[in-house]
Amino acid sequence: MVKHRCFVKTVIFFLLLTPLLWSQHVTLTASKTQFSQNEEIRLTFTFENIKNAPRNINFDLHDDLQIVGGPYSSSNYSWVNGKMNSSSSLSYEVLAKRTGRIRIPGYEFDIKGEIFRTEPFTLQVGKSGISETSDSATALPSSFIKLQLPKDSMYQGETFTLSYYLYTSERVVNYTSAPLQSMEGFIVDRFKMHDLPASSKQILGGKEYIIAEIASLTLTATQTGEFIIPAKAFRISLKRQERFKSIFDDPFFGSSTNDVNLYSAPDTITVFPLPGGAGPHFTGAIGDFAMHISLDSSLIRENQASTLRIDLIGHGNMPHFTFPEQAFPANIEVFEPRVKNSYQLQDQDYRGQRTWEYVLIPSRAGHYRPEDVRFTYFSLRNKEYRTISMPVKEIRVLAHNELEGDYNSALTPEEVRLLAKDIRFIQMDEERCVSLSYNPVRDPRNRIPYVFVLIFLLAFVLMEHMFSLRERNMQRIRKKNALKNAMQHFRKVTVESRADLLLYGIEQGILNYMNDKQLSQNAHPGIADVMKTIETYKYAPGLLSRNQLEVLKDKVIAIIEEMEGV
Amino acid sequence: MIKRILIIALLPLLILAKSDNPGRDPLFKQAVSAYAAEDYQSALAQFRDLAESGTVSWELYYNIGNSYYRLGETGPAIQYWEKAALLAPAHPDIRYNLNIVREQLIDKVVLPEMFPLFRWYGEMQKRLPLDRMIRLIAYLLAILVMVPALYRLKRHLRGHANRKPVMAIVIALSLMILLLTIVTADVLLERRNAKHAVILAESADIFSEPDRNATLLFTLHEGSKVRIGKEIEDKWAKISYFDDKIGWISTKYLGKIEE
Repeated sequence: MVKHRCFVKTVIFFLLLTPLLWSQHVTLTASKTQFSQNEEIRLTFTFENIKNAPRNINFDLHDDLQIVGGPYSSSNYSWVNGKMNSSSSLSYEVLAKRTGRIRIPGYEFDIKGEIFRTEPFTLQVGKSGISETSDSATALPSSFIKLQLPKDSMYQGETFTLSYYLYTSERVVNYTSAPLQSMEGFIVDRFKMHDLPASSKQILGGKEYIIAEIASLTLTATQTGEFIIPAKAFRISLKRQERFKSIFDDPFFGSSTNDVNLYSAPDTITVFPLPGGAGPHFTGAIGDFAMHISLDSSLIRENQASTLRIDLIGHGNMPHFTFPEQAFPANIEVFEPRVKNSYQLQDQDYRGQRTWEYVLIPSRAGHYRPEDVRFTYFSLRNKEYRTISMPVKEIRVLAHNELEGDYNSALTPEEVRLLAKDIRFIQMDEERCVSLSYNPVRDPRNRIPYVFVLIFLLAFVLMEHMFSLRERNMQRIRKKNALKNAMQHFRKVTVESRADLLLYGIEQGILNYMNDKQLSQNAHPGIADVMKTIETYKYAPGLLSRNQLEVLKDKVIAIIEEMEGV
Repeated sequence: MIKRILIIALLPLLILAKSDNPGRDPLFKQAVSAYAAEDYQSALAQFRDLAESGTVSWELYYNIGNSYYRLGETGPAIQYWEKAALLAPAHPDIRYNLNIVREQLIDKVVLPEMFPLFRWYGEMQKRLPLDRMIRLIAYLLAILVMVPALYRLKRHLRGHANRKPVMAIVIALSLMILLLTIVTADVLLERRNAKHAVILAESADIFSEPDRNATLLFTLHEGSKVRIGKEIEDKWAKISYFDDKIGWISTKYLGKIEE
């Protein structure tokens, strides 16, 4: 029974405890409550068993703290007695802007109509070294960031660039920093990390430091007063050599990379208002500028366009001003100027060119002289306002039915003579005279060459014909002279010759004759017989005696004579 | 043998190449003397008498143009220089004087930059001496006939001849002749069909119709060269000024360039 009661009590206790375990609440904790001014701490909001917890919190830090990182979120789930327990957290990395006690108030959250509140607590901020990695309290740290201002005071509207220098005596392998989007009292023109900065060496406190400009921040002052340039966090990766702890440590790869957060110290800058007396042509340009103007056409027709181009070349706050309004004569319609920008951030401010193109369309004929183009800027070099004034050429507008003659500039013959431009002297002789109705095609002089061409052509045709005739007659002549030629040939073929030469001579004689006569071997029954004998003894002419060869020769001559009917 | 044939064949061409000059009556010399003595009025009268005889030369037209210019009449001066340019288009003196006087004209048109090939062709059209072109084509044709003839002759006489260089020459010559013929024909047609005139009056109104009461389109000034289209009873002429401006003008203001 007692055992039974004890069990019931335990169950009741757990049942009472369960709501506590699953209770919904929000807490705010700090990673450190005592820390130095340049030390980064983490503030974490934890939402226990709250669904739809906020992903970002806009909490008021009363100008005491500065957020340098975050929000970083994380979630946790666990099962207790078959029921899920969840918690989510949002963390922010913050820096203290001042020393002393900073009270973190309680923050209220309204989640689905339910109010949750965090408990207030106090942070104790003390003065300390610049770096987390300081070797000792008195000596300079091995790495630190230094902010360098170009000057302590600026003018409102002025563009300038701050530099962040890394001083280190260690081996830096990488560095990063969160981009900077806005800053109170300034337009952030650009925050740039320098990937491959030039470095120099300096001895500080007996230690050699490598100094490199790792980042620059270009700002344009928009308000006057005293402003704090806040601390900027940089994450620096340092490579450090590790000591051997055991024989199992790798002797070759005994180094590791440590990431440290370094912060530049906040600095103060004063922005003064520009002096008075700027004049009507000042539109906020600060720097040093030169102006060039051009008109593409000073002689146009009614309703035709001419373009006035104004080029402003120099350096200063190029993107942060407009060109002063220009006055143009009545009867000239002027469109909004087309602006072309060709500048870039260099060193301290913007350098390059800005161009304004005004399209002018006069509606009536006449002479128009637009007012001089004036532009006022505040010269940083001379600390005074300067106005550039340039005249615009007169525009002459012609009526639509008037041609583009320039009456004023047309020269008289006398003026031309004065300009050493006179006509050339007359011709003293006539080389060739023609009739009034001269036509070069009908001129016999031009036709004669074609007659010669025809003659050449005829001569060519004639020559070809002559050679062709000769070619044809050649056959007839050979036919006619066949017997004569054959006899002449056989006269040369004598028995004194070698047997093979004699046989070859007989063969050639009969073949030449047949060729000249255009005959085949069937023309005479004896020819085939002779040719067969020659073919037989061609490769063994020695088998035939001189007499046999002589007989063969006579036989051939007899065949030829028979064919000729001699 | 071949050299002899060549010399005999080319002899007439060499004779033709040297232009003859029949000379001119003493009136021309007198007019030149009058001009040299700055008596431009009588020089002009004598030059004009020569022109009205029915036989002309570019030198005569040129001298008339000079005489008018010295007398301060820009329009007729341009008219006669343009006439001279028709007979001797490439002569530098004519071009020079025309360029000088064009600087004094009131009407000026700045034309857009043309594609270089078209610009070159346009200039060539203006300056091409047609006489020489026609003769040049004939000479090239003669060579075109002679080259294969010599080849055939050599082949007949020697039994062999290299054919490849002959073919190359024939093809090159044929292409050259074809191109020159097209260009010459184009220029010939343009000069035959186109009629131009120069505005002689100090200013002349151009109307939308051949009627003084019609809409006044624009005004041209002395020395401007126009292209003439239709003509109505020798009183009105349809003109175009740089192609885009077309209208009607009284012919009394015009000095025609082509006869």
